Amino acid sequence: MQRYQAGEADALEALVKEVSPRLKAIFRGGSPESEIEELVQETWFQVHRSRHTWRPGEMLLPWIYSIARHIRSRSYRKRTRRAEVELDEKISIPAPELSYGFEQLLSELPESQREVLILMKVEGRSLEEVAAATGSSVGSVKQKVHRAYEKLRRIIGGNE
Amino acid sequence: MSTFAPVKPLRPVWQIASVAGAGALLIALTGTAMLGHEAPGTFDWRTWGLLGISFAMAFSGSTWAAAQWMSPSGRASFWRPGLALVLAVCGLAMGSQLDMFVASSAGLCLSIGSMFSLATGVFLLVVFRRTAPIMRQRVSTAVGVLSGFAGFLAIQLHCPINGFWHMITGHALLPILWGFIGYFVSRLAFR
Repeated sequence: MQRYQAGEADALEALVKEVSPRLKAIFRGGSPESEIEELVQETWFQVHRSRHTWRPGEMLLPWIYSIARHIRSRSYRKRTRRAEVELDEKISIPAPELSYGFEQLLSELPESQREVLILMKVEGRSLEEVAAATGSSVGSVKQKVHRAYEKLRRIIGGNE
Repeated sequence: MSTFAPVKPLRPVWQIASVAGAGALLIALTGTAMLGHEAPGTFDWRTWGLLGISFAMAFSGSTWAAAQWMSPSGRASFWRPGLALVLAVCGLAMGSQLDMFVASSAGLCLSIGSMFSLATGVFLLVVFRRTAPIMRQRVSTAVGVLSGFAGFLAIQLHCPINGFWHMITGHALLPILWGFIGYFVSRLAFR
């Protein structure tokens, strides 16, 4: 990141190559598939515009994830606003799925629980890193993961 | 190898917060020095103590929050400036008398205080100019609240009127008013 701040474009390329799949994993589950690529690009655009706000010594991934969280919540707000407008024109309720894939399972979880589960179990981040990335305490992260497990257990149990 | 413009990382949070807090305090005290110190004689040490604590909390809380929010990963909350405002109102209630609300005198204090808030706001915009684009609304709101507190301090130390409703509407309203101004200006400017 320090090389990137110093103006080396190669450093940015390496960063994009390494972190983009992780960003996609974070956006997947909470956002429509068609928007994921756009959200990842928007995140990199904001990373570039905000690159001076990363301080040497700070953990890099939580810093990038914070930007991704802002982008995601902004996109969610836009989407719900658009949905309210479109609701009158088109009402279609999807039929309930009987078989659950991993991504479908994740999409059943509330936003905050899904986020910590992806960061910890898919990304392999430590409790401290997840807490820093999501702006909550370690205790709160533990609680969210526990609740996510409970909910997943209930869903899987109910579909067997 | 391709390159683009190098950037300098932000200074540490405590440095930015210290500069912002000291500058805002200096502008507020300069304001009082210009207007003259004529605060009500009914204020005793308890009132001044409570007001002192609340202003210290407000200045430190909002400068810290704004400095933290310059970076997308910065974590802060607004509970300290909020509590500071509640304490300030308690302090004003202790040292004042219940009066009739007079719009003209409250409006005068509000407008004089707003001039100092505006000056503080302009100074703080310079201090916080390197905020990350996605964080500008939050920082702008915090800057508005801090500017409001600077105007509140300047006018509180100057104004000789010790009516409760006058002080609530003419003085203590400034942080809320300027917080909203900061928020809406940033919404319009950084849409």
